Amino acid sequence: MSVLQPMVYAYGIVRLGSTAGLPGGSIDLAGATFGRPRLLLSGSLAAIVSDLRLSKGVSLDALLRNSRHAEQLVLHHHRVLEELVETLSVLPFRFGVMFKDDQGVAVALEQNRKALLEAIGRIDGATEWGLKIYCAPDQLGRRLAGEIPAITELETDIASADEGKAFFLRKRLKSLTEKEIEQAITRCVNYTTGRLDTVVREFAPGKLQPAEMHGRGSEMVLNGACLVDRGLKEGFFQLLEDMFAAYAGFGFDYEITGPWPPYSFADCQLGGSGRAA
Amino acid sequence: MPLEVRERQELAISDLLDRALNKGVVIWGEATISLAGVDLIYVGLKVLVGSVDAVHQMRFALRDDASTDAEELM
Repeated sequence: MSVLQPMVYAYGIVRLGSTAGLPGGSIDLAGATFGRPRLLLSGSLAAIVSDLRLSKGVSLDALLRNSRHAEQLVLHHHRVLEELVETLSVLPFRFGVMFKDDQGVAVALEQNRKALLEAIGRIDGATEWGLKIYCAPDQLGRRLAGEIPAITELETDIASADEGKAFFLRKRLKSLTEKEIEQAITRCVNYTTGRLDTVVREFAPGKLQPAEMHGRGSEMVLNGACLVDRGLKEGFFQLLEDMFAAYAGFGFDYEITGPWPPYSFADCQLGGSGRAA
Repeated sequence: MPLEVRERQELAISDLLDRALNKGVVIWGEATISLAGVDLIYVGLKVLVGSVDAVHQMRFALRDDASTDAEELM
């Protein structure tokens, strides 16, 4: 795709009257130059935008097909938003929303004003925090072995059984242990997410990541996003400290990431007519 | 061992891609996608969007280029 004229790149939307300094300066990423972020007003809404210019010979398609360049562009999108998110309720655009000109932005905001205001209302005063729980099944299994009588009994039986019977008892022990591990993981996840209700406005479960992605030796058992009121951040952290303290001995580990722009709670696709697409 | 909190610069790229490419508001214009000259152009990062596989792929690409990325992003 060749784009000769500058486009208007959109990062997010705020209510008019929101006051916060926008990140300064322009940035060139592999021939794509994003101008200094600015506010573009449309009625009671304002879009955070910048002018995007492509250097001669640079095509957006080619940039996006190069994983390194694409990542730079995504990071830029995110960094503009993250500068604002701790103090301002920003409705984030998904990466890659661009308009031909300012008028295009204004029309899109005008046509979708009601839905956008509702979406801002959903995240107003809150930020997104990622919550992950990992489990080391071996550690959990060892802990359960000492606490579940059926497992202890099977281990005792195996120790005194002949080799043939011990073979089948070991299979039964393995099956029982796996079942107990699975149940313990479910209990931990359910208990944690249940307790979140007191400090979290909304919880959005996400896809679990494989070990090769998260890079840990343990298994991810929860990957969710929490929409937390700014005033409840400390309570949210304390709750998870308590959960971690309770479950760490069983091989569970908790990780919080953020604060994120509330991407996970701004998941709406709007049509040009103002209706959900 | 305290609760692990990863903020800002420590955020994992896989988490960012999952959010910024798959979530967030999208406004589709009357003529959404065209090569040029439309009111709204939406670029969906079609070769990268969406799947764990795609994010996984990027993760390894990034690991290979980590030092270069860090310099270019400053």
